[in-house]
Amino acid sequence: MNWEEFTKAAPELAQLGFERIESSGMVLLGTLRPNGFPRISPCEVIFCDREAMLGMMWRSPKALDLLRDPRCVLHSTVSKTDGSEGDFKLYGRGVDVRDLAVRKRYCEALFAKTGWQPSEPEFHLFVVDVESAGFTRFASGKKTQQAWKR
Amino acid sequence: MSKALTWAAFADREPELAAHGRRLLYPFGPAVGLGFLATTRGDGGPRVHPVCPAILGGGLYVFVIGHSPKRADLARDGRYALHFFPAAKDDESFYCAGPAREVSDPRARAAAVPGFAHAVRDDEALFELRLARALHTVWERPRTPETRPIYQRWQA
Repeated sequence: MNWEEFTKAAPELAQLGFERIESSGMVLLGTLRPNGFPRISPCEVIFCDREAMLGMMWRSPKALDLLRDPRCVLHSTVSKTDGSEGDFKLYGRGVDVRDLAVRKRYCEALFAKTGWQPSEPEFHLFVVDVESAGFTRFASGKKTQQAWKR
Repeated sequence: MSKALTWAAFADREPELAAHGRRLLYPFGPAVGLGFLATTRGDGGPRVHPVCPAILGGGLYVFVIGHSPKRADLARDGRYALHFFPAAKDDESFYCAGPAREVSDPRARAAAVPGFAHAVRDDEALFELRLARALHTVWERPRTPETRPIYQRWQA
């Protein structure tokens, strides 16, 4: 399911995830190398067109990973050491986007946010087909945990 | 994989790369290391979790909670990737990958505990992370149209 469908299925969890991802605009993306080794790469997330969109440099290792094996995980970044901001994880599959109209809207959203956009056709664009998600936060000695699975 | 090195052996071979790694591992000062550990789930998919690694006595170590999914991942398939990326901006990062090995000797485990900032619980398992590859990335002119990554790589 896309991000909008996920927000309907698990609104509170999706809002926590949205806030955590938007706080930096970045996630740590876990993918699989050709030999099965896990790989981690920073990746910018743009929420646009009802989707969580991942833009990547042309032929970058993480893009090639997703084209070969779409399984991925997105993890929010961390700026504090006490766990009080919370960790958000999103498991799913990266779906390659070839639709030029969708890619154009992604570029416009990216430009509005950063003042920069890539040129066609020299970038990869994926949307996340969401399968499960989780959020954990430690604050004032209390652990908050939420999980959802399709 | 048999050529994977301890942190100290890696630092001997690649001192500049290791210095970048050590600096980026401790973004909040020398007390607390922070990184993201990727493992392989039982179904083969990737898992990512924040961890607090430490460089101690020439090795790169991490404690993971004993009954956690990532401990099960490492016990089943020791392949890991570790990315030091605590900040909101990704202008610079360090990445290493290789085999993880659980430290089963209780004396070695006890000796490592003081090297970690958090109160290590009895149910946490200690793993040594050996290095088979490393990558340092700096983005030149970040967030501009001219941005480009500058890589420094090493592979055992």
